[in-house]
Amino acid sequence: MLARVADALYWMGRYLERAENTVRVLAVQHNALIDNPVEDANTGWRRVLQALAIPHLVQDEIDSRAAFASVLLDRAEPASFVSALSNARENARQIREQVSSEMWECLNKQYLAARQASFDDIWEDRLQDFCQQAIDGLHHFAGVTTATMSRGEGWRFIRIGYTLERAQFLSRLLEAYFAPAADTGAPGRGGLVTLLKMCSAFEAFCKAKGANIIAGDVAAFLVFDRDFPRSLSFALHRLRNELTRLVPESRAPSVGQAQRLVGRAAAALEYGSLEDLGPGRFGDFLRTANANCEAIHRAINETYIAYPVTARIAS
Amino acid sequence: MGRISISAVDPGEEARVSFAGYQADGAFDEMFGGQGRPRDHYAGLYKRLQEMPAETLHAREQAVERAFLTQGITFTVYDDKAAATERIFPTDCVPRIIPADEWDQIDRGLKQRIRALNLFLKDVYGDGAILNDGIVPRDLVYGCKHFRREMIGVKVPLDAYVNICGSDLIRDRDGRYRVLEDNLRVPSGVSYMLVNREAIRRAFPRLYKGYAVRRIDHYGAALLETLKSLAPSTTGDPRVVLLTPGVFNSAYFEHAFLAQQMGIPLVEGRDLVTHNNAVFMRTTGGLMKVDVIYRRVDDDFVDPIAFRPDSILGVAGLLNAYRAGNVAVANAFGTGVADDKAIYAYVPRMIEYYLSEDPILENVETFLCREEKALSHVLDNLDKLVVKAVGESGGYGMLVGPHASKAEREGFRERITADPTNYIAQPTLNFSTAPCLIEDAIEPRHVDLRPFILSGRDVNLVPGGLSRVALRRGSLVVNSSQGGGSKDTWVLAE
Repeated sequence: MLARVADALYWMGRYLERAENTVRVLAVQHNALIDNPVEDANTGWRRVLQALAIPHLVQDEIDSRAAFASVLLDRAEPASFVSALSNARENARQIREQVSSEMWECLNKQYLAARQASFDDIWEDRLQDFCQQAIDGLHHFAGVTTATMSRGEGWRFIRIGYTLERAQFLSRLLEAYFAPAADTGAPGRGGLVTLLKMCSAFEAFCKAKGANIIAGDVAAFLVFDRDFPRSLSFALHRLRNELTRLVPESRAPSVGQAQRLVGRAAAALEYGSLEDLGPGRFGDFLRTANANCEAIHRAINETYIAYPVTARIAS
Repeated sequence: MGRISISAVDPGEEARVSFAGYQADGAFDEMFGGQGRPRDHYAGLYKRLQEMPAETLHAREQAVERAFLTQGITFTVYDDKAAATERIFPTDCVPRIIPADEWDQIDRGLKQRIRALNLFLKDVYGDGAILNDGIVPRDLVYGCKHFRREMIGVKVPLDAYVNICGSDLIRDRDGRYRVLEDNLRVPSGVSYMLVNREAIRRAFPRLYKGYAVRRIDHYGAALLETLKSLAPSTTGDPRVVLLTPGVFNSAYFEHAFLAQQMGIPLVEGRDLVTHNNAVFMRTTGGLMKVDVIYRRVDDDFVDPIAFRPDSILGVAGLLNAYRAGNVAVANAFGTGVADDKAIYAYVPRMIEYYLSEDPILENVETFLCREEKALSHVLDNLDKLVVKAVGESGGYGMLVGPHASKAEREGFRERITADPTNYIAQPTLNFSTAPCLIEDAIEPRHVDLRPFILSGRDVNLVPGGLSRVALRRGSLVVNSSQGGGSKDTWVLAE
């Protein structure tokens, strides 16, 4: 597969996951603000903006309407939902012949709908609908991809993009709740429910641990659970599987770096313990997980995408 | 029992499409013959259009355009703020129909023409017999800006220089098909031929079934076959790629579409590297040799070492790899010399010279001002003719006699007299009209026809082409940038 194509598929996956995380976080935040204002609105927004890595929107008093407008539909805001979706679509457009027509049409329709949407129209009564439709659309795309795409190298690069993005998002989100940049205090029950819902983990958590929601259980679930698809551990195991399968199909001489890094990071989660999540340690643990993801990203890029040509001519 | 009015359900009550505005302007009309009666091959369509409410037609046309938008069948327009807008190429939903006998003539005529053009290219980059024999003036060939001296003496696979050709045909007042120009460099439009068909088949399944329309969906397979036939003989199953200038090119949709139809990688210049006079693509697993390149990048931009050094779209060293015979490139470099405006006029003579045959399809009458008799005719008839400067394109350096002022005509008279070799002239064309849906009416609009000719081991055409239509009333300009659209084109089996 062309290196440029692999790169575009990888980024398409990343941006789609980013779009979904962004819109889900916004929907849950909106719901938390109207329905269950246990937490101070500002605290909620600080966590959201830290998790989505949009520090420049943080102010002393965050205006909810303006924040929703920026993060949802502002095309000039690179971290907004609509920017992530546009970037996913632009990556797909650059490799149109690689994705199935069904995938392309599905993604293109959502892109056109999001571009046409006006914030004034959806604020405020239609905001939940809009977000839900966006999530449905992205799930639809994932389903169409599963149903129509060959499980070859291209598929793996998409999956790698999705899972890396997911792992990084989770580590940042957990950090925003349990080891925040600014002192926002420990999350109460309402905050923990919001956190679970931002990972669409509320129901899964209750099934696994019961309805008694305490911080240690929530953190352990979102970090270590083997079965839930939006846990850190699950994301890294999936990533390891995809990267391992990439090896035999590839003739790259220096394979191993990315695989080694992902193996180590996954093992840290597999063999991690509740102690790692203790006060004063959890933040470092999450930052290490995030840094590992960045190192894996670089290793993939150097091995498969942006390798120096001279090194390969000699072989 | 009371009387039951059937008028409420009678479709005759609904607004029909109107033919009231169907006034031909002296051009040949594709649908109507003498006495306002439809020609035989249009009778079925005419009947169907009369049964169909205007609303239904509009709804189907809109469905087609919506489908094009969601499928991303668009070209990108950039405004001065560098903001990009994606637009669809307007499609008129009324198909253009070509009966079997007319197609047979087109098919034979274009095959004959491409054979002669390929022989001409081999000749001018080889022995130059046609120049030595004085059939085509030497200075015309060597002075042409598309002549590539780098190609002299290069062995071209199968001697097929032009592998993909899109010739523009028009019909004159008598309905005769004539070749208006040969596009021998990187002709585009074939994707619209294919997607129009797909859309119109779906929009009008019954009408389509009622006609024995010949299929065109094997174009991708035929193109791939042609490209593979050019591969250097040492390779087993040749690796073919399509080279695009990239996503910002206005024809990018077509490049992606064709790559997908053929199942080959769509590459950009930055994906390819040359080493030891061979071309490789950068894959996730390292460098992989490429055997055939279907390039959609112009000569000027395709190799910064051989041609324009400021191009970042090309592949450095491609021409040398090509000359070494390690990679095939379609179309070959330097084919533009054969679709030059002045050399065009010599194509009928090429056919006679190389093939000893009479041309099956005629040119549009062209006066070469370099020839004395033609010159005096042109100067006497500046008010009736279209004059074109040979080296220019895109409407520059052109005089449209009937629409020009006296001063403009006199200006051209001076320039032509000063440098007659640089000018050609053609009669003002009034080419044929075909029925189009305009508002709630069917009205005639001018159309041309661009069939696509493939030439590798064999020469073949899929039965069809892109009919471009000038959607503005009376306009003769079919370009998409100037109010042009397209039509599905049905070639009938019998």
